[in-house]
Order: sequence, then C-alpha cells, then structure tokens
Amino acid sequence: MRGNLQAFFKTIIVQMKLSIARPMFQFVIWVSPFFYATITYFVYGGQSPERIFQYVVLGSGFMGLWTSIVYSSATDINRERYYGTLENIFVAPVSFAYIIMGKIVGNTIWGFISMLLSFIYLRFVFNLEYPIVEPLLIGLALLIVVIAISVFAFVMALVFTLSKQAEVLMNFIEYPIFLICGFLFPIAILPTCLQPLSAILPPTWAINLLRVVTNDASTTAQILQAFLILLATTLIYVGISVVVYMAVDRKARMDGKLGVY
Amino acid sequence: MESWGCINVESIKRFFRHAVLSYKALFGWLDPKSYILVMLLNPLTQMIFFAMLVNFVYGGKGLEGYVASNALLLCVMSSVFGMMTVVMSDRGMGTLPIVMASPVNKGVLFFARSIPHIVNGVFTAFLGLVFGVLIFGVSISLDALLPLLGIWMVSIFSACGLGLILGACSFWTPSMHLLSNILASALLLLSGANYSLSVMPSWLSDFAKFFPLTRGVELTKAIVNEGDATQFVRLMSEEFILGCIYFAISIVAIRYAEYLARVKGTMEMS
Repeated sequence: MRGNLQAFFKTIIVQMKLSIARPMFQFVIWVSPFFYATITYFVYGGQSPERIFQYVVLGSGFMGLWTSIVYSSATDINRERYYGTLENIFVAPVSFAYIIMGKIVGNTIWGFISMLLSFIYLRFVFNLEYPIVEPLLIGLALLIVVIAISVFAFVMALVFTLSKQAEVLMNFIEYPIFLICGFLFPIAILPTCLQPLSAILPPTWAINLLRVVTNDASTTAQILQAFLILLATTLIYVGISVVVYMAVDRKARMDGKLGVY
Repeated sequence: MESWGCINVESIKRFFRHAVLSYKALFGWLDPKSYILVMLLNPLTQMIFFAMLVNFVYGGKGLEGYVASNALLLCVMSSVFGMMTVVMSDRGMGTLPIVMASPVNKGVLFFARSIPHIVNGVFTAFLGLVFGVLIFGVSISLDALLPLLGIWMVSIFSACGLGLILGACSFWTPSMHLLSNILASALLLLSGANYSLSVMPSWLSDFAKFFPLTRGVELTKAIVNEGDATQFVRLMSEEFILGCIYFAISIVAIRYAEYLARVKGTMEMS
C-alpha cells in the first residue's frame, strides 16, 4: 500500500512535467483559457454581474479544465501505447490503477491552474467583480470537484484503453461535454431528451456545485443538496470505475492486445 | 501530348488527380468512421454549442445569422487543421524529402492539395447550415443560398491561404498543434461569429480585418438577417484579395521554410 501511494505521488509529479512538455498541452493550459474567457465575455458582455460570474468566469474556467482532461487524461493510456510502454506499466508491481490515477490527478492539477489563469485574466483585464465566498466552503467544493472530475476522467481513460480510435474520440468529446453539461448556459434550455444525459455526468454537478457555493442567494439546503448530488454521482462513478477496471484488466490479459496500436 | 493551345491538359488532369489522391490519403476515406467523427460530427457539435449559447444569451434575436455564421466557422477544421496536414502528413510518413526533391512546382503542388480542403470546407459549412436550420427551426430564404455559396467559397479560399502559411511552419517546427490551435481559436474569436464586432475593443476589431472569415461572417449575417447584399462586392473583393495575398505569402513561406529545413536539417523532424 505504501509503495502504491509513493508511486501515485511520484506519478503526479512526473506526469505534470511530461504533460506540460507537449506543445498541445501547453496550448490547452497557457493559451486556451484566454480565448475561452474572451469569447465568452464578448457574448455575455451586456449581462448582469451575477450572470457573468456564473457563466463567463466559472463556465469558461470549466471549459479550460475539461479541455485539459480531454487532451491529457483521456488519452494518456493511448499515448503510453504509442510509446510502447503500456505493457510495462500494466505488469509493473505497482498497481496500474494507481499509476493511471496519478497521471489523471497530475493533469487535473494543470487543469485547475488553467482555470485559475482564466479567473485572474477576467478579473484584471475585464475588471470583473467576484463574489466574496467562504474560504472553507469553496476549498471543500474545489476538493470534491477535483475528485469528481478525476474519477470521471479515470473511467474515460479506461474505456479509451480498449479503443483503437482513442485519438479520434479525443477530438470528438470536447464540445459535446461543453454542451450537455451546461458550462455556459443552464441545462434547462437543452432539449428534454438530452437532459437525462446531463444528469448522469459528473461535470454537470461539479459546475453546479461551484455556482451554488459562489451564489450569495443560495440557501444552506441548496448548498448541501449540491454537495450531496456531486458526492453521490462521484461514488457511483467510483463503482463504475472498479467494474470497468476489472473488465479492462481481464480483457487485456485474455486478448494480449494491450500494446497493439 | 493533349493540349488546348497553350494549356497542357495532362498538367491540369495531374493537378486534380494529385488533389484527390492527397486528400484521400490524408483523411482516410479508408476509415469513414474517423472522417465522420473528426470532420463532420466534431464541427457540428461546436456549431450546435455556440448556436445554443447565443440563442440563450440574446433570446433568439438574430439567431438565423448566428447559426449561418457558426456554420461558416466549421470550415476551420478544413482550412486550418486540414491545410496543416498538407505538409505534416508527408513528414509523418517520411515522404516529405522525396516530395521536396521532386522536380514539380511546389507552389502548384501545395495549391492542388488545398483544393479539396476548400471544397470540403464549403461542404461542411453547408451541412452545418442544414443541421442548424433543422435543429433550431430557423428559416433561411432560398434567395440567400446562392450569395452564401459565393461568400463562403471566397472566405474559405482565404482561410485556406492562411492555413497554408501555417502549414509552411511545419517544415521547421514540431509545435504545429500549438500553432494550429492558436490560429483556429483566433479565427473563432476575431470572426465575430457569436457577437457583433462592435463589442470588441476597436484595436481588436481593426486587427480582425486582417484575418479571413471576418468579412464572410459580417456579410453572412447581413444577408441572412436583413437580406442586405449591398456590401457584397466590396467585402468579397477584399476577402478574395486577402486570400490571394495569403496564398502568395504561403508560396514564399514554403520556399523559405524549405531552405530553413535544408540548412537546419529539420525536414524529417517529427
């Protein structure tokens, strides 16, 4: 267990260094937040400060976070396959799950850095006013959001492990999640047939939690409800990830095609 | 050799044959699933996302124009990422030095490879428009279709010219994903597809005029929303000249990039 944890933390550091060495990831972390924030601000420019904070600041920040997941965590397994190192990691004495989770957490930390950059940019370039929030509350909310997003990315990474079309899928899943999870508008305006899909995706509840805890008008009951929904969704995804992990592990060993690119 | 006066028919046939073959090789008609996901569904989800956003924020005002403008923006996949692969894919497959050492005119060669991306860009944009009309229930007059075809062809030609300048960079830099994504995002930002250019700071809207698609988007909105085509000739002339300048620069850039690649030994770098 201690060895696994040590590998987990070391993987976070190594992954953060490896990810940011890639030009595409550099774009995702250092450049894309400014484009997302500017475009969203131009669209929402004439709206109320509350709406601008909810959809421009949080929404564009979350777009940056999600893009960092799409172009890193979702396809890191495929990248290892391309490098020819996937089988080595898979059969190493340290659990494969700890390595993958370490990679995902490392990438998610970068995602939050890009989100932070977006917040700073909008605050100082467009002089946006941010609400004063309880530090402990927002800290706890961010921690749960990190866990929720990481668990969701873990499930995606496992599913992508079995696909030979991971790179194609990577390019496809960015905007559908922006759309379905309501990053820039409420999910209530989506067609009715899409709303159940929104409800089963953790990013929907993650951004909802941040919106609720940063809204002055939110009641304690609403805040508690937002926390509970995200926690419950995350727990369900933890269960799904265990099942998918076991299935991937079994299939990889039976087929012996893990490294086939 | 078959010829019409001074025109060599075989050269023209070779031009188009090369265009079709290179396109097939680049975008894998052998795997339609990849083509559909990357070149059709991905841009369409982008269009739906932005159309839903502006519909929510502006309360449906001018939605037809925004849907059509976002449909035009779908050409970015062809004009930036497609044009980038015009050079990059050869390097990835190790055939770039052979292509560059061949006696053919490189300007004609790369222009031939651009043609399918212009056609594909127009196709994707019109497909986006059809989806936009069906999903959002907006009505676009049939009279507007022909002017739109002209506007979009010229705009996409211009965008492909800029894309080819970017493609030239791939001779000496491995950071093409960084550059191509910056250009694609810049086109989204500067075109004004999702807002009026008047919301931008004046220096930014002036800067936007040096980029393709800005005039195309302005004219698309004017024609679709108001049926106003009075600016058609002026804006499209400017856009066409801009496109010609981009292609001229791209030919010089390819030659210079080729020279740099030979000096630095980076032609096969991946």
